[in-house]
Amino acid sequence: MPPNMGITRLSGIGWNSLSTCLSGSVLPREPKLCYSKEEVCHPQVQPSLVGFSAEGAQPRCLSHSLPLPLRYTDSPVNNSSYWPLDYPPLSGYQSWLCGQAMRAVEPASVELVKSHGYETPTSKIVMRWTVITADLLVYIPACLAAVYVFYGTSSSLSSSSSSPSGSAAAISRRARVLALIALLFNPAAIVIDHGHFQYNSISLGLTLAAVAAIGAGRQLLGAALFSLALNHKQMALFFAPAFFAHLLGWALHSQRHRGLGPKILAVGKLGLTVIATFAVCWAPYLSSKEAVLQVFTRIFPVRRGLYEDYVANWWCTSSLLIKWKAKFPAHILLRAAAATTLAAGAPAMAHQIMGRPARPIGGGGRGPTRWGLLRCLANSAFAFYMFSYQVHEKSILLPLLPVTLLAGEEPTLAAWLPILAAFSMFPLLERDGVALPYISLCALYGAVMAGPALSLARQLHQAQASSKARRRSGWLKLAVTGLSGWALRHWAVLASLAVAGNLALHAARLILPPPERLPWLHDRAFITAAFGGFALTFIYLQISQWLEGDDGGRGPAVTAQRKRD
Amino acid sequence: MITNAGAFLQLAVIATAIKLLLVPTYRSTDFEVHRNWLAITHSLPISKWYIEETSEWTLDYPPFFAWFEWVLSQIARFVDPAMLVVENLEYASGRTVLFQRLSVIVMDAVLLAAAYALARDVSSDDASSRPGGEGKSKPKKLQGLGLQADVAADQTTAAPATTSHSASIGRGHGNSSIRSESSGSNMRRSIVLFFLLSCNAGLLLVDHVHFQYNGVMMGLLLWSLYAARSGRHLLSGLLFAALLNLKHLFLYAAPVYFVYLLRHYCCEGTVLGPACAEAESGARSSTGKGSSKGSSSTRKGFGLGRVVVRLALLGAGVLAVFGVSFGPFIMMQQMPQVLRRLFPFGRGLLHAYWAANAWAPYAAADKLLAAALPRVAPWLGLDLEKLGLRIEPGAANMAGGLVRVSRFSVLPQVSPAATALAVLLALTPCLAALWAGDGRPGYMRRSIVRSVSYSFLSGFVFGYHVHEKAVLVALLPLAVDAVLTPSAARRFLLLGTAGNYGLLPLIFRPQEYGTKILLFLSYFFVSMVALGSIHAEVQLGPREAGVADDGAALQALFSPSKMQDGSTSPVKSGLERRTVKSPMKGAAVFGRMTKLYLAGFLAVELYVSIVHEAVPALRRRLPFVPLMLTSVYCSIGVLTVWVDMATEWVCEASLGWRKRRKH
Repeated sequence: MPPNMGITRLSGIGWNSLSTCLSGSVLPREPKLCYSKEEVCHPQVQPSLVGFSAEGAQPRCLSHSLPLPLRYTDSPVNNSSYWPLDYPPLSGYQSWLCGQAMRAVEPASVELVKSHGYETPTSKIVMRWTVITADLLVYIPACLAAVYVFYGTSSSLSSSSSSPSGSAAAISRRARVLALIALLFNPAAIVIDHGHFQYNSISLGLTLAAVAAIGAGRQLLGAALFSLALNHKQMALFFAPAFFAHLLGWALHSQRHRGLGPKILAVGKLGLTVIATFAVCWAPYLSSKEAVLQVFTRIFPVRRGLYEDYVANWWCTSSLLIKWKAKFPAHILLRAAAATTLAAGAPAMAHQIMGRPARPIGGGGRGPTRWGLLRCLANSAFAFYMFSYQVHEKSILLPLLPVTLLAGEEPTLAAWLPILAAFSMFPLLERDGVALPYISLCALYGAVMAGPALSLARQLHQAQASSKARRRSGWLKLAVTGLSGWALRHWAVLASLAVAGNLALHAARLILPPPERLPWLHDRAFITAAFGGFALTFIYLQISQWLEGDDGGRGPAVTAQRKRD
Repeated sequence: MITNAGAFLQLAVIATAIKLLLVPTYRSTDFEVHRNWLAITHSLPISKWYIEETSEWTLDYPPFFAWFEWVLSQIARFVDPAMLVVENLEYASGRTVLFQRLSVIVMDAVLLAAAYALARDVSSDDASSRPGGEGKSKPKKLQGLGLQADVAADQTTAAPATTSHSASIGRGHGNSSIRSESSGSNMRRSIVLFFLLSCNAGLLLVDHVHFQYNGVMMGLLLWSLYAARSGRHLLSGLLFAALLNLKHLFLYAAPVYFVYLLRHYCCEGTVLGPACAEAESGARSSTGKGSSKGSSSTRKGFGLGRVVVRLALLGAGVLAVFGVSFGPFIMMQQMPQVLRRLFPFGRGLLHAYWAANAWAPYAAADKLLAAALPRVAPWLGLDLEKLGLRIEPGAANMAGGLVRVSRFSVLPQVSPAATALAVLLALTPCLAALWAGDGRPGYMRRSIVRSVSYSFLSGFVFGYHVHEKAVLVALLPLAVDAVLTPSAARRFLLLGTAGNYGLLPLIFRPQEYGTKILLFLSYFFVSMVALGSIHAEVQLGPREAGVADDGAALQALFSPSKMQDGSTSPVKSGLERRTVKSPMKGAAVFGRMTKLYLAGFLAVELYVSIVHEAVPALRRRLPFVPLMLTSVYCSIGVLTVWVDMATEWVCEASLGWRKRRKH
């Protein structure tokens, strides 16, 4: 019996019961309450490298103590050099809520100016608990909703009807469990939110809810939810092209919109929804043009540079060969980044906007399907991560979101990409003192995902190989299927090679001190390795977007890409 | 036998990952205790080990544990030599913490290995060789449901096991072919057992938060039980002797081991021996691990010589173990000092925080009386002084505070001898039943775990100065039976809930509040659902339960309509529908009172962590109430389980002796 029957066994003994999944997913979030962050919270020393604990606390003070319009203005008490509020309004409101909670528990922690760097065990616990609460209220319900929409009904699996219904049911059950686990146990997301300290789960959860709403056919609700996500964290902008393209494509090609009138009406409705949502969020700042501009300059700090620290994206990785920052002025780089981002995101967007073609290109269809939306989201977020201006290591969480939701379709990809993402952030995590949880969470994720993902991938591959859909396959699809089949056969070797590579880099970092002239050598090695994996994934996702059928059925079974270190 | 190392590996990795996450959490003084012992064993000669008292945490475990610390200190030397200096009190550098934490995690491999061995062993158990009275009452019902596997197994055992050879063939046959259908359920059973043993929330909290090395010792105990179950009696006895020299807490099971080894190892197959000797040896050879003396039955009557040989072998082995351990100290004439360290009877009946045993309600009653009597006495016209009662005003402060001798103010004092007598009395029916046996084959295989668990539980309930952690020692062996019979599953869940909840006050910092509650709750729910699914299946038969079971919870949540038409199995009884409908089918193993009791924990927790904290008057005037409430409430569950087990042993003992008299 293969060593990957774990999930069936576990599901058999009730491990997949909901309570378990939920309590299990909160469990790894929990112990990190106890991590001491003293050593990383000295903003004056290393402004770009400090942990976010202080950064998280400051907006809370501001939101708590200042009247609304003043929160984004520079002033003696609200100095932009000490972690100003630089998230959109919704974050500000949420910080205000958290500030109220903090005040109830410990008033000193939210006093302006005085509380800079304030940290007591109680204040830390309350702040940590606010993140866990955000997870429980926003992210986890959104995960359940999204998994329900995408994997809940058997009708979405109709394309595999050629196989016996029993095995189809087994596949769908396994896919559902796998997607839920991938979303809930994603090590990169957990360690950033609960170790490094951020509220990504709210923005990501709102995005996920938007995806679920659109998948369930409530496009307007989806648009509103995504606007909220955007208003919580501008990082959600990574997804904006995908939502835009998908919704536009839907408005243009939906069966219900026949004729020009309904199409324009649909576009108008979407636009109105978005504008209304934004208006509600920005209401306090709409008093004057200056106020809005002030918020904008805070939210989009163009002056910060092309990238921060070490990011496994195109600009940072290639800067080893071409010193972008030194050779070109900032405004050129800004334009170059914008152009490349747009170019990289364009094919996926086009796929969503364009209608059903007469002759499929790669073997799949086109147009705005919900699975197409997921892939487009992944592509758009990857395009931004790879090429846009001012990218953080943490931005990898955005492409991870659609990929983890795709776990039932791309099991092996979802099994290793989150681990690689956590790996790419390791320099940051090490500075935060959360190296141990990083190890633990990655091991946990690997243990839970690897076996079931592989067996699901094999099942999907078989189901696809035997299905009648093969006859409409284009050459591209055949190539990808062949390649993925090869990868699946050699999975054990490839996976252990990748893990060995990872471990070797870790060991080198631990044992060998970097040469004096190259103090950044280890960081470089980490991001270069991660970049390789990300780039392959990106390419694969671009291709798979075009292989995506428009029958609401399964995409290509598995990925041919592996982690390459 | 079906092997599925993948699932076990998965669970082991998950358990280890959770342990790693717990590394930076709260450490109790036990961390310093063990660091100090590292220092003592590393830097002092053996002659000073039990004399050294620079730190207040003197070495008070038996010598093998000191040697264990010595081995660890050989590695610790390379990590941070400063932790090995006796004078470095309260030393806890980052590397020291990491080293000590990792040492616990790594040593837990013993537990994982033992759990794996037991889990594999359990999957080869068939229905008839399960412990308890179920074997007698269930089969008819099962046949009615068409449970072929169990019928087959029944026939195997119903046929008189004439020789060990044929018995082994019969059983082997049952194992390989007929039982293939239920092999899936056996697999599931062993995975559940592995989970119950390796992820126990109480053990995680005590070992990896509070800091102790219970995992290693529980691992050895489980190894010993595994050896006993698979018929390697000598190994089992020696392992237990070694265990005694690691931690003398395990002394409570010594009487059981004594009777078990005397009766079923030394006297096996002789005129002195148990009636079921043949089958016993049959069971041994069927597992393929028996000693070379498998054909004992043919030599019945000639065995007196063998008794002597085995007795000598066992005696020599046990003496050798104890000799290696205590020998040096006897040579150095330090035994009185060592024993004084090992058995500090000056500490009082109750620990600072009362363990959830029989003395908790006793002490609570005393406290209530002490508070109430001075006010009530004048009304009743009683003169307390005349009755010989002198109630001090500070009597209300017994729970909480440092380790100290606590005196009861109203009720009679309880001496160490009285507690020892109580424990021995409690053990008597169990020992009697063990001696008598029940005349059916595989008696020891079915009973050893239950009897050992019962003896630890008796020790916990009546022992002197018991720590709340000792409940784990009774709890873990019970898991083996819990996956085999529903009644044991009920017991395990009740004792696990009450015992583990009683451990929660150990970890008192607000930082770990969520961690401990989540660990406790998730272990409770997973074990409840898992055990429920196993035993629901026993009631339904594997096929029907398979339909009900495949991801029932999620399925029921996500597509309830599909669930209904999915179950088109021929037997669509009301029983099945009931279990399918309820996503919490694990709860079905409980009675109504038990459910009520379990729900009561919610109320207790609400009071302890919210109401009591929020009302300043309560905090000021009744500071001891949360701990008292916790231990008394938990003790209800523990005592219920104890009474349940004790009654069972009394019944078994009387049955067994009646049967013996007939022969």
